[in-house]
Amino acid sequence: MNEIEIVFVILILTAAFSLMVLGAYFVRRRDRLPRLRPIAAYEAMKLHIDEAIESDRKIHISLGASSIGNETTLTALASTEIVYYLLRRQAFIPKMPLLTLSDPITLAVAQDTVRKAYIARNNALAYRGNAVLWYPQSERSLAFGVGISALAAAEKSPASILLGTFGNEIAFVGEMAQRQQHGFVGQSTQLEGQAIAFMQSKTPLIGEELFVGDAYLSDERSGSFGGVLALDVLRWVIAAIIVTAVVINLLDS
Amino acid sequence: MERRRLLPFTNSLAAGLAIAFAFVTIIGLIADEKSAIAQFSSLLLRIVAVFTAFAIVSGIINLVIVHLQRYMRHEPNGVHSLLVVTTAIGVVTIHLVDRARLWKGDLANEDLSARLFQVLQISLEGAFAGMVFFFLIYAAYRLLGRQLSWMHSVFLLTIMVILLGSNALLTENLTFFEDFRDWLIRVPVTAGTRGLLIGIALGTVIVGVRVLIGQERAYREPTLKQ
Repeated sequence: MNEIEIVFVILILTAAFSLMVLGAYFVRRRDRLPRLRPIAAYEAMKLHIDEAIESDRKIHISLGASSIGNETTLTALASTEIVYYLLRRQAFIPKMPLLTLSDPITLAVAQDTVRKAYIARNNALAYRGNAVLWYPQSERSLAFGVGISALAAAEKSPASILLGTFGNEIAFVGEMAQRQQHGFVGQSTQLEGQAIAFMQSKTPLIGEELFVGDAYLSDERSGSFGGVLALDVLRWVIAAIIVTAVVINLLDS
Repeated sequence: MERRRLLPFTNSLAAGLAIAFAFVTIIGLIADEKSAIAQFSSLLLRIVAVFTAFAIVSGIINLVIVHLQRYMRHEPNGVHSLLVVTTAIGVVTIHLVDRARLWKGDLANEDLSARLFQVLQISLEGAFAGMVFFFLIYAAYRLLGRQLSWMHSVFLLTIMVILLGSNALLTENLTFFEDFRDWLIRVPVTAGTRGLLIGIALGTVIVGVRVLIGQERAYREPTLKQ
């Protein structure tokens, strides 16, 4: 890293930290929680979990190739955060979900996430480690998409919720959901996966919306709201920097 | 008197270790490559690679157990599970025989596991890739049938322009489509791509800070929710 990059990294981290603390402080001082911009995908996820409970079927959630230990570590952590809050909603029943992924380290983290969700609802006895299924694959594999869509169809899952790192393989799950008239919420940090999810899902989750899931799904929002505030402010700051740079370039020329 | 809630020791230990290693790694990335902290950070990353190898073994064990249970409980498509287990055992056996150089005759010195991978995996992936194209066209067609938002309209229009602009017969006479396609890819698509990637990068910064300050939920045991 050169000096400018180091300064930039430290600046971004400091700004994010300060904004998160400020946001949490702001929420704790208020009587009412702030209203967040509605994101249809999170509402749809809650609805799909409720459908799974009512129909006594397994909801299918996939983390794709999100992998702890490489550059998608934080995506995997953000995805498991959402998985925790979704499963906590349904963990009072004995039915286990269907959680698929392709990274072996994330497998252990995902199993722990499911366990914690069931403990949170005082239903630890219902927890089964085999609810989390590992599909060996390289970073991207169409066979993974085919495998998980066949599994979700066989289990008659009421919906598939895909969060994390997906490439073209996401198309198979979207197609299966359309054919079986299942719900489908898709998101990917990979561009091609995100584009396909946008086209196939009625309620896609787009880009950075993945990282604020806890603010939308949890009822302990003070810390989570700090993250939303930091993300929004940093986004506007970067947009302002880009616009300023364009204006300066135009004036110079 | 109000009692302060204490974190369980294991949670505190996990959070403490994660925070300490996260700071060492971030300083190691910033510091000079030859410095002690950078070397230590690199050692940590190598240890992670070893853990990954162990995790793959645990993943394979999980896979075999899950599918064996599915078969033994006579669950629907249990035969498929048996096939998965048999194939897993077969592939591992072939790889072990490869490594031990036990093949005789025409197969002597052959690397059969690599050939098996090429024959099965690559041809399967090729076939699936062909299907993806039809799925996407069909999904675009279905978009027309459901409530069409203006964003979806822009998306469909872009697909049309890209497809028309890539048609060699058409672009020979009407260069407009080709020029428009090139402009689309160069300006709005690149801008949108960068916007999306910047958003994702900012999101990862937020989660990263949460990890650095020990606010990540993975460190905590859950509180009971009624």
